[in-house]
Amino acid sequence: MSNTDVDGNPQEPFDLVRYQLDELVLVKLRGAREMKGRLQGYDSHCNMVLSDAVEYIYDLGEEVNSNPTVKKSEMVFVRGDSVILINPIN
Amino acid sequence: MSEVPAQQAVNQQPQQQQGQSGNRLAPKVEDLYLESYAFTTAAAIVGSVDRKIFVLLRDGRNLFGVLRTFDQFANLVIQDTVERIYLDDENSDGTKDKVRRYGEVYRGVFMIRGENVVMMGELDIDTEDDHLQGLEQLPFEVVEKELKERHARKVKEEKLRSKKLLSQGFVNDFVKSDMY
Amino acid sequence: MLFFSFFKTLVDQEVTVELKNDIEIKGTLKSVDQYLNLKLDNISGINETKYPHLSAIKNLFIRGSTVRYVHMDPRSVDCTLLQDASRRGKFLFLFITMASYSLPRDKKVRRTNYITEAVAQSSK
Repeated sequence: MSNTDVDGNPQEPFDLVRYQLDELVLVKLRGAREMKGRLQGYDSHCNMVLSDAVEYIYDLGEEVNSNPTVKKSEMVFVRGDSVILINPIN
Repeated sequence: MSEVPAQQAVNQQPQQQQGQSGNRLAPKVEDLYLESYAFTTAAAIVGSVDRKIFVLLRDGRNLFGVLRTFDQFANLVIQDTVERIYLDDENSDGTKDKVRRYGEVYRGVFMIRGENVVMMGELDIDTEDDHLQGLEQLPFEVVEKELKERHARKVKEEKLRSKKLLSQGFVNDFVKSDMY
Repeated sequence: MLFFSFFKTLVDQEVTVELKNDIEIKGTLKSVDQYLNLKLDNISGINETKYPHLSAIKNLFIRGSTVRYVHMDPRSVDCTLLQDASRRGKFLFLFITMASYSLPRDKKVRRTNYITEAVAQSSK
């Protein structure tokens, strides 16, 4: 809370997320999953809604990093307790 | 016994009058209550009271019984509970069985703490046993033993997987108590 | 509260719920509560070998904490509104919740209407 923006308003972690609304984000999730999509909404639990989302599942028994399974969803709600981090991508 | 309805009738009259005299406020208050009640845990479950339901618990147990009461945390009391275990057709050595198996046992009354519920649903009592056709019933102890072995194997596998994933920067989403 | 209100606007729509144990359940969203527990009707698309008894289920109550994703029809989501609500944080959805309590009984009222109303009210 020690950082402030130009207007002197305190800056919080969720301010970063707010700037990503209607932008592409990469969300890292529990269970070796990642979800890329356009951020349409979020709340303080990291619940969020992504549009045109692509999910990558790195769920291969032996070679974890080889080709992930890809799943697409036009509109998806992601429950916050699975979220590890939110990464702005451009 | 015959006096009871008469008493009720007497009691109802003043209430009705009150309702009419306070007509301006009363319906709105009632609406507010009903609209807010519609989206509560209680409202979602209340329709299943005294009906046959199934409950899936976080440890993977399937319980079937009559829902008698519940509260806002989805704590449940179920009567005449039967626990049933379904084994899917995959064996430890990777081969598939020809017939899937199940086992069941009568358990009686259950009080279930809400946090252990994964899902619950109302059963159609006309078709609830249809899915058992084609399944082979075994004694509960046999099926339970097999399931325990499978669970132990899964815990081992997941532990290994967690390690492997972690080394690649991924977090596994597995908790020992979650076997559903 | 935001997503509680959000799910209320999806009532009667078809959704697909993916649980943390990887099973997917398709159904009509019938109710939601403050913990985001969901109630579905007309369910289908369940792993039949692991949960064979679900074919005889009339309605399903799913505890919110076991949900991983909820997939929905993009046409049933007002994105601009949702973004706006997220920017304003919890305050706006207080309005929406209040507005939904005073919803007319007529179920044909488009559910998004009262949200639009709430946005208009809050930006005054």
